[in-house]
Amino acid sequence: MPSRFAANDPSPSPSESSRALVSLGSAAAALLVWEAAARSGVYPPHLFPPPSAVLRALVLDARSGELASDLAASGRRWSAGLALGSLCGAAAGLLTGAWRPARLAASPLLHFLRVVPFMMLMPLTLLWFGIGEESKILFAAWGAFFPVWLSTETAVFSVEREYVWAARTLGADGLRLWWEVYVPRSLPGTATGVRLAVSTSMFALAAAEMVGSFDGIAYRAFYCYQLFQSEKMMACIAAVGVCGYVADRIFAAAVRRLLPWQEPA
Amino acid sequence: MSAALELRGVGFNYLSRRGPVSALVGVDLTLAPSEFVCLLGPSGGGKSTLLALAAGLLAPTAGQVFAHGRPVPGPGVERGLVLQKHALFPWRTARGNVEFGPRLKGSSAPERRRCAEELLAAVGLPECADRYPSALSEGQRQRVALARALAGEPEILLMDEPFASLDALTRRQMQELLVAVWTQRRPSVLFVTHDVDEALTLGDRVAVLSACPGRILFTRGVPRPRDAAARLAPETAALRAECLSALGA
Amino acid sequence: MKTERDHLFLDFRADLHAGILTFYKTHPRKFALAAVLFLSVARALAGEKIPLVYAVPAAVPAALPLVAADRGFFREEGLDVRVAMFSSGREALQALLAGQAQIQSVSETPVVHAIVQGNAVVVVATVARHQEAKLILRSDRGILKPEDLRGKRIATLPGTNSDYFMYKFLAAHGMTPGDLKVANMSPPEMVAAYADGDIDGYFAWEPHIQFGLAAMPQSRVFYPGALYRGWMTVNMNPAYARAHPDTVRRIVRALIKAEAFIKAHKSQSLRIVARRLRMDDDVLRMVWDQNQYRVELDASLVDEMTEIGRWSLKLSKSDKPLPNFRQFIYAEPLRRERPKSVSL
Repeated sequence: MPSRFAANDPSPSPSESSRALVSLGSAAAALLVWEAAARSGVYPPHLFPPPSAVLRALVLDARSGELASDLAASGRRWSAGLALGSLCGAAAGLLTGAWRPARLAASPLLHFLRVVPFMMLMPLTLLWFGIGEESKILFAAWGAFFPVWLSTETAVFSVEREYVWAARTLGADGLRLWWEVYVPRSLPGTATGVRLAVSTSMFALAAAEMVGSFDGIAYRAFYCYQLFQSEKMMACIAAVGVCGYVADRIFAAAVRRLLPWQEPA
Repeated sequence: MSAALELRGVGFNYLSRRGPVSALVGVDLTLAPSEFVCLLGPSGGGKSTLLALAAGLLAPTAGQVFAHGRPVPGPGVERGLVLQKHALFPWRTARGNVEFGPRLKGSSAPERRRCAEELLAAVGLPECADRYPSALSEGQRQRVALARALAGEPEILLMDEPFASLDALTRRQMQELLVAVWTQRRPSVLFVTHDVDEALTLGDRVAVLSACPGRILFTRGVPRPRDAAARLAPETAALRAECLSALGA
Repeated sequence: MKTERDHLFLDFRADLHAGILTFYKTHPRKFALAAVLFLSVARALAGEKIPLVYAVPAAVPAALPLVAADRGFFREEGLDVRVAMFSSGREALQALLAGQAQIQSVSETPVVHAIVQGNAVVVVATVARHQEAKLILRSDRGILKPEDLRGKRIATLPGTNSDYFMYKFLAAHGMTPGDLKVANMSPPEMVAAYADGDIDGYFAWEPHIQFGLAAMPQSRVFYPGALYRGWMTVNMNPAYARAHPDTVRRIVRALIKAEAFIKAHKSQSLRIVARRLRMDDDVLRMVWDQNQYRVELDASLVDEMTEIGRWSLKLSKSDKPLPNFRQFIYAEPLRRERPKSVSL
């Protein structure tokens, strides 16, 4: 290969571009199948709109500025909730992972709460916190908390004894030991948890927006559903999917920068 | 002159799933300053436990551990530790690992850097300073682990089968490196291994630990010089046979 | 298998049994196939009972279908109708569109939205005229007249008749929803949020207005009056309805029977509906007389639907054409049954 490229050629190697082609190709094929199925008349077009109609609705929304404002409203809540939930989850995970009394006291309760579906908590949340921004951010934080807590707890719990021993013989103890060994060793685990939390916090936020909200992308999707506007509703879903994918890629890149010692996957 | 390290009647019990286990019983072991002692024992015995007790990472359930006549309060840089696996912190570079101890002590940055570079050069890895352990070979990692332990200028070096997972050639190189470093800096070394040949190559003395519950069966001086001829000498062969049979080989 | 046999054929029957048993033992799969075929043919020949699902919202104007089902009027017409309750008419309509229900009732607003967006649905009758869409407001917090709603927090459920009423109400007082803070909520949550003070008022249908009033007795309630006339419609899939006009007639007949029953036995009907909707008898009594329970197709229905249709298109910023709503009403069966009820 090297002989075919100039020294500073920025274009990707053939294997990389053919990989991208395969991914794009399969996505395009799926879209084509969807378009054909929707247009075939087997399903009513208003329950099952073709991607061309969805794309059209998406473009219209974008042009009118409605899409941007909806995404911004949801995005603010989602990022605040994700940050809050991840921090609390990581802190809780560090505590319950390393300190046995904390684990015995808190773990059963947290595991119990973790499996309660978001929709079942909605009425309670509405009752206690109302329908303002705080309640939505709290709900998104709730969604983010559990994956981060669980993955951090597992990571901290499985910090190898050898690292702790080595650090102690080098003079680390107490809080210093924490900071120098437990936290760095469990960061990759926490990062995985945050990656999951990116989507679970969005699920929780969507539930909150659909039940009582003044704006937001999930609110918009529900609104379109109520008015039988299936293409617009699917356009909202598509927008969320794209944003989620982009967020995930950004996050993965950030993790690679911040945790450079990881062996490349 | 008091012993650099002394274990007096040391015993260690712990609670396993099957009930209380006596890992060590009545262990008496002494290390003179600058002495190189190899501890032989079967796998699964109390070798690592003994080392952890010597380091001060565990407290003995019976007996006491002394360093220079004073009881050992806990772990510290005076008793450097080199382990077999998970030796280096993966989240720090080689330099970061070596600088770990000095940084905790409060050394200034240029001082730390100088010390780290010197040690990395001493173990033969001057160009690997900024690499992460995941980018180093096993042998290189153990070199850095040795450098890290030496950064605290320890009087005692405790090594738990550090070369067990290396291939034969690398192991030889590491043994030579260890001897070279020891010759230069002269700490006391307690080197745990299950390999009789390694013990006889490296140590001034060999101590043999029995299977669980572990106790010192015997200690022997290893004849010097340690060259190719000495290796084939009948005293060495006899000692070797004695060790092997004690290990139950 | 309801076939009856004569004593004279006892021996034949014994032989038949023996033969069937042997066949079952030697050819189990063929036996199963034969059994299925036999049963479906027998079922088809056995009677005119056609199983249908009627999706009904938990709302008072849906009294006629509820009473008809309870009193067995559908069964009398040879229809096997199962009533499926939904918490809102929108969901009941969704069941019809997805093919899970063959008949459905909902207020006219969601039907208009569905038709405007191109869904196939046809109205075969209306079973009530109602005033159920209302506004309830706190009388404190500086809301003395409707114009004071500016900037206040109001809840509505998009796509429903109370949502439409909101637009008409605000327009009548020179406002648009943009002048307020409008949240989407479902009526039970509206009541809770209202009681908590989270919102200053909401647009919904009964009994949720009554619940709000019970939580905050000093509230003010606004009726739709001349701004909005509501009908509880009966809808079906157009292809199905046109293919089975006889079935539609039977449904209409059953509903007409229910209409007569309600007129003659008010308190009993009240009890039936209260039980079905899980409402308090007293609460139901308060709102019962606000509706008129009649099977009809009034001329003003088309006008109302057209007006709502225009609003729906504007709301959805759609470039779709305004449908001719007369084409989405299948009046023939009711006209055949009781011509004076159809004034289209």
